[in-house]
Amino acid sequence: MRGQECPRPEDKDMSTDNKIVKALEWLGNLLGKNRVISDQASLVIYSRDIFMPGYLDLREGKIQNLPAAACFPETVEEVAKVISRARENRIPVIAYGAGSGVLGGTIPVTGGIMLDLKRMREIRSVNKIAHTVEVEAGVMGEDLERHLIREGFTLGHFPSSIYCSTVGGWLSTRSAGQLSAKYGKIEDLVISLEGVLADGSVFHTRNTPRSATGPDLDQILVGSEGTLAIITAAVLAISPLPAKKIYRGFAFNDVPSGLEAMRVLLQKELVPAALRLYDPIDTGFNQAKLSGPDSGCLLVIGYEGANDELTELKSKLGFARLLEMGATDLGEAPGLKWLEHRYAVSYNRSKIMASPGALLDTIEVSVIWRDALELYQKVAAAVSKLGLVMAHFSHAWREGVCIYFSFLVNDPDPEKLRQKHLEAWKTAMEACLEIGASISHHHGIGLHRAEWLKKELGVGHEILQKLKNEIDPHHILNPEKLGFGEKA
Amino acid sequence: MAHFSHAYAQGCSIYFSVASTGRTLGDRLKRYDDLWNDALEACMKADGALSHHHGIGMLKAKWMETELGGASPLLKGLKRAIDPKGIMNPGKLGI
Ligand SMILES: Cc1cc2nc3c(=O)[nH]c(=O)nc-3n(C[C@H](O)[C@H](O)[C@H](O)COP(=O)(O)OP(=O)(O)OC[C@H]3O[C@@H](n4cnc5c(N)ncnc54)[C@H](O)[C@@H]3O)c2cc1C
Repeated sequence: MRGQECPRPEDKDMSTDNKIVKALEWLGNLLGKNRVISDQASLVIYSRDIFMPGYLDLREGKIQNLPAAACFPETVEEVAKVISRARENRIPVIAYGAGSGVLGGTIPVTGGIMLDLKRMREIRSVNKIAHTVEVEAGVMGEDLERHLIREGFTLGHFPSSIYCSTVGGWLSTRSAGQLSAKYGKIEDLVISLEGVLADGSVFHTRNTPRSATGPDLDQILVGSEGTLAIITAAVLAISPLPAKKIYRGFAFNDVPSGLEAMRVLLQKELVPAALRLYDPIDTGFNQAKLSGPDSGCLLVIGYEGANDELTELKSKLGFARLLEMGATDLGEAPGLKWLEHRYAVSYNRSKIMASPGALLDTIEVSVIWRDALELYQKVAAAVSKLGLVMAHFSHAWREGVCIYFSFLVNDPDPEKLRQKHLEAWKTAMEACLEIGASISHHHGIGLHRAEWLKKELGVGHEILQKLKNEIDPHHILNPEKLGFGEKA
Repeated sequence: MAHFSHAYAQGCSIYFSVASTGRTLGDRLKRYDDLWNDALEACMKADGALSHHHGIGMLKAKWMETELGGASPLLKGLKRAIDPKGIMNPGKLGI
């Protein structure tokens, strides 16, 4: 990561200084002075997201990567003006949702202006015939869901960060909610996008369910992490609010038998809403009381739907199938407990991070069924040499599964702790590349995964880099993310 | 006449079939062009997409700018990035 210690005025060269003074002036003129902030104390918040090295810096009292300013546009036109001026003046612009990203996606590594979208917070309309919502990018997840519930709908998108992440952030990172088996990931819910391209032009893609009108531009922009465009609003598919929720826990002897059961349910038309398998250590952390010395693996499964009869029938058939495949029925309690505490577990990290010398991080990857066990075993074995590692299989599809590793490493020496952290990541990423799995299922790339992304995509990354150079020749939008470094 | 041949929670595909005649070949060709013009103009006005599953080719190319709603720099940038000399199927997709 570039960036120095918190810059003092005498450290900066004059031309940068001038650019910044001028930028504050034109930003103030465009948006009004009260929608631009430039005092260093307020800007500290924008210097990091939840990416581990930033976390460690904070713990060690280091402040790096301060932007020059943050601004708060309220309309797509204002965003377009900011982008155009920034392009003329060659100043980087970094889109900022809520900063809950975990890979350094919002870190202003080359300085610049933070474009905080939280004042674009209107839920423009709910279309009850087409089952869509048109929502601005800065709306926080929980606010959107509550609004939809009042209208009798759900987005069905429940990342654990729902209280601290925005619609724009979800779209830009291809996030996943906990009920992805039923509702899909965020990219599956996109009907159309509104935003501003790197050249300052405003676009509204077509609000239609499916089309055959060239490559799907929405899907190029979804996941582009603020490097190709700023997303200002989206039309997303919504579903009727489920009336019935049937949750349950089952135990499997081991990971292989649990994985096999997940695959069978998904491929035999018994798709639930929630389907998660925990390895023995992660099962222990979930405090599931499984009998026997070898505690086995907890599977949480939940069926939800607006049609009671259908939901009941599906759950009956699904649960019966699990029993046939050797599961032990643990009753409703583990399922309901998961449902109640489903957002809490991710926030435990801050408790561990409070003790110096320890860190807890997570790595999520995506793999086809055939290779899932091999990848799980390989990563678990290698990372366990560095610390405690556990995993759950948190999202599953007909074709394969997401493995979500959590690892805890200790070292009294801060430098060694960072090395162990990087080593764990390297092991996991290289195992993915070797096996042909994907290095990310839903957290994205940011800064941290850039080099591994290039290896995963190969010539595909060269194409993306060329696209970036064509539409953003001066690398104004979120420089150095997604591996878009020096011009190709 | 039309049938609604593909449907989703959000909307559907409308599949029109048309038949027409004209006295001379010129008349018939003109009618053919007018018909496509009128249909696709109406589609753009009603916020429909130009195609559900047949694609764009040459026939629908001139409406692509409208279809893409301002996002055409992205498609054109992609084309320039990977085919700077424009040798892959020139003149299609309106780029
Ligand atoms: C406790 C916790 C739990 C989490 N649980 C989950 C989970 O269950 N599932 C999951 O998928 N993720 C999870 N995450 C990760 C994170 O919440 C997601 O990546 C989320 O999508 C980020 O949203 P944000 O609004 O905070 O985006 P930010 O962190 O602000 O930005 C993320 C990236 O998107 C870009 N960006 C943001 N808004 C826009 C915009 N409008 N236009 C263009 N680019 C934009 C930024 O530049 C950056 O590159 C979790 C994180 C935490 C801290």
